[in-house]
Amino acid sequence: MRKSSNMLNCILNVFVREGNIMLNRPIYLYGTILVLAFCAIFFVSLMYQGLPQRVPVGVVDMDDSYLSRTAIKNMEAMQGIDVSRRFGSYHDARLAMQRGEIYGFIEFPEDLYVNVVNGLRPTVPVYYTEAYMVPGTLAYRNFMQIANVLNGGVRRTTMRAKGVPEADIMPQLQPITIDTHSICNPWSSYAIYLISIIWPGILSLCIIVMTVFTIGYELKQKTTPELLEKAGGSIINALIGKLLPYFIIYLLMGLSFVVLAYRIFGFPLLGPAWVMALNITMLVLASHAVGLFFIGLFPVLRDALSAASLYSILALSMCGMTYPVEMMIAPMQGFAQLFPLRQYYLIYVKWAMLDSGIGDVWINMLGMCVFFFLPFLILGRLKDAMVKLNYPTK
Amino acid sequence: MKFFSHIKEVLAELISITRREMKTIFTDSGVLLILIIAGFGYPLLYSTVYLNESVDEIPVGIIDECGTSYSRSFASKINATREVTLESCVNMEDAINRMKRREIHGIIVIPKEFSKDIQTGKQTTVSLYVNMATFFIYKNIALACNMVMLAEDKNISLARLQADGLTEQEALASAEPLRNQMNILFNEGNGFASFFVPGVLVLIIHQLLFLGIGMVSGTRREENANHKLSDDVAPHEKKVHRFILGQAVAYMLIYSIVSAYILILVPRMFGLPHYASAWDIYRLTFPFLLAVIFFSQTWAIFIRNRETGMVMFLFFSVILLFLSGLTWPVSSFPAFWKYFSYIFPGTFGVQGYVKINCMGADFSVIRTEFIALWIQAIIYFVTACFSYRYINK
Repeated sequence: MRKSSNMLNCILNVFVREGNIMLNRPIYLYGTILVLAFCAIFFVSLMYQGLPQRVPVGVVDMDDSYLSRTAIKNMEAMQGIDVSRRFGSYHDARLAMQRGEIYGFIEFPEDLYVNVVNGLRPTVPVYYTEAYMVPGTLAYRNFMQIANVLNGGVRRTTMRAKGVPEADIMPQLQPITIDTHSICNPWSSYAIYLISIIWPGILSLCIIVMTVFTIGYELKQKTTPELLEKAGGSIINALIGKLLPYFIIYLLMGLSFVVLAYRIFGFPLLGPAWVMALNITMLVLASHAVGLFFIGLFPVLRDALSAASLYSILALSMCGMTYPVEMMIAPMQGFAQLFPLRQYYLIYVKWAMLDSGIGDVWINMLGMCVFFFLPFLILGRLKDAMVKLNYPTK
Repeated sequence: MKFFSHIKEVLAELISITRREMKTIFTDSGVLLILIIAGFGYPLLYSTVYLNESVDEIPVGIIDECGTSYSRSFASKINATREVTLESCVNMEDAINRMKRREIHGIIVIPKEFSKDIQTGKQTTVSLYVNMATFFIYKNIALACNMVMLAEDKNISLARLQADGLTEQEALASAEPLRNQMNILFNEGNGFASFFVPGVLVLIIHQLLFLGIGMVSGTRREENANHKLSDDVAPHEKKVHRFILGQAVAYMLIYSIVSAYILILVPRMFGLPHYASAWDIYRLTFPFLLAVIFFSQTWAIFIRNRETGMVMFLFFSVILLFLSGLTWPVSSFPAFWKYFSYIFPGTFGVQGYVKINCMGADFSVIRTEFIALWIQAIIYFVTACFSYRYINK
């Protein structure tokens, strides 16, 4: 009984000490709250449209006929593209694309209308770029639609002239249609897709770096003996007390994100919302553990920080949100398992997006828990460094 | 004569500052790790992550409720696309379970009346369920299904028209009065690495220089009792620019080599687009490096410790990627973020580099970026002077 109250006292001592340190230097407030708030505001305000609207595209109209003008009018009515730019030639339009002014263009060749009427099947070329993947793909999708509308329009006129009943026209034009359902993101919102992972990714990055920094800085200032003394000589007490304030702040930030995203902004979830709360809690813990591991492995602030930085920025690529891990070369697939964000992503995709239940994600939860034990590998080494201060400080 | 001796004196001072900076860089293992080792290793790592470029043969579940030879032939056409490979599923429950286990990334449902509808001239709807957890997968599955649908629509129309007694030519003219031709310009292979990695390469230079310079000046200020950059260099206000220039020359010398490796050699090693000549890349890189160096020196004002720069600006790498307009198009930027992005050399660096090296643009096309980088270089040189003067006050 005495021992446990003693332990609580020690932790509380360290906790209070850490609170004072945090209030005295702006970098702690910055690294815990400001960065994350800034990122949230940045991504939400940058991508408030969900999917880019009115992607600029160009028109090269060499025909200037009733047909091409109707097509342009149709395009003007589309939400996804902005066709305000006209070009005199393919060459000019291509140049504008290189300049980054447009992401695609459509060309109506000379005598288009005449050739259509004469049944010569003229070609209408469309150009779009994959050098900018998101707007390029959107331009492509809208052009595809317009090409169908155009073809359909010509055929519709012919069919009407032949007296085909109106109800039969659509099935004739498009016997098969595809109805695309984007599971758990019905608007195919790029913003929802991206923010769901990138913000937790930056959260994890901040936790790793700040954990390394706050412990490493004490080693560097040679204040760790004092820290251990406050903690009653126990490294466990010292680390718990020291990291507790950060854990509380980051957990609150993480949970606010879950509430904001899934409750207030209405990011869709098929699974229960508490899963995301649990998921982000585990991510916060795992990131602290990884941070501890780095500073224990290299008990020199600058080395640990450089290594942790180079590692943590990779997480966003290795979690598999942009490019699927399954398609990477084998060593990279293994490497991806070394990031808590990868497990966070998989739990999100399986349980929150597809409501898989625990059955399909326990392995990822276990994967996440493995990170919790990382610090125990370096505890002895870290304590040694904290007591003896036998590492370079520069 | 006095003029020449003055120049000689200035040059001598510059050279001595440059040499000192070089010595600092090469005797500090932390700085070496960031500037040199990461400079050579990181591009390799990123290029390896995205080595496989395209996403082909994505497993997609198929539920063929129709089960006729026609529906099977439709499915096999989807299966034949480069992007998709089909795995047959018993029912929706089975398919969803397999999706949860990530064995498949999408589900296609061919309805029971598929063949009948087409035979009787009704419109039939195939359902595609995809999950937008990985944008690139989502995009490729949708693309493949759409292409097959369009081709099949045309075939059906053709067959019907020919059944009505039209010749093949007439039927074609009626079924497809206009021929659509979709062409990709730039990144024709639709590769993820060719789209993503070139921009990242430029930002790697930006961030490593920024963090490296931050570390050098942070260390200097930390070791100095009054948090000044140095006591013996640039003590007089008017000479601060020599100090900045002398340092800049050191970083320029090192990073001309590192940049040549990252921007010219790495794309060739990994088969990424490399349309620009080495000379054009160098012409762009020169003002880019100057702007980044002076920009980083300006920020020294906020960095009082060796490590603070890294803690403060690591996350900014992600922000810079978005500000460069590589993923989210600049045309959809709110005005504020658009102007905000002009602050960073990375924005113009990425755009200029992607345009000349990935899109094969002439150097004249990136005049705006080129001029913007020079303007930034000049402005940040002046701000760096103010910053250093303030620090050493």
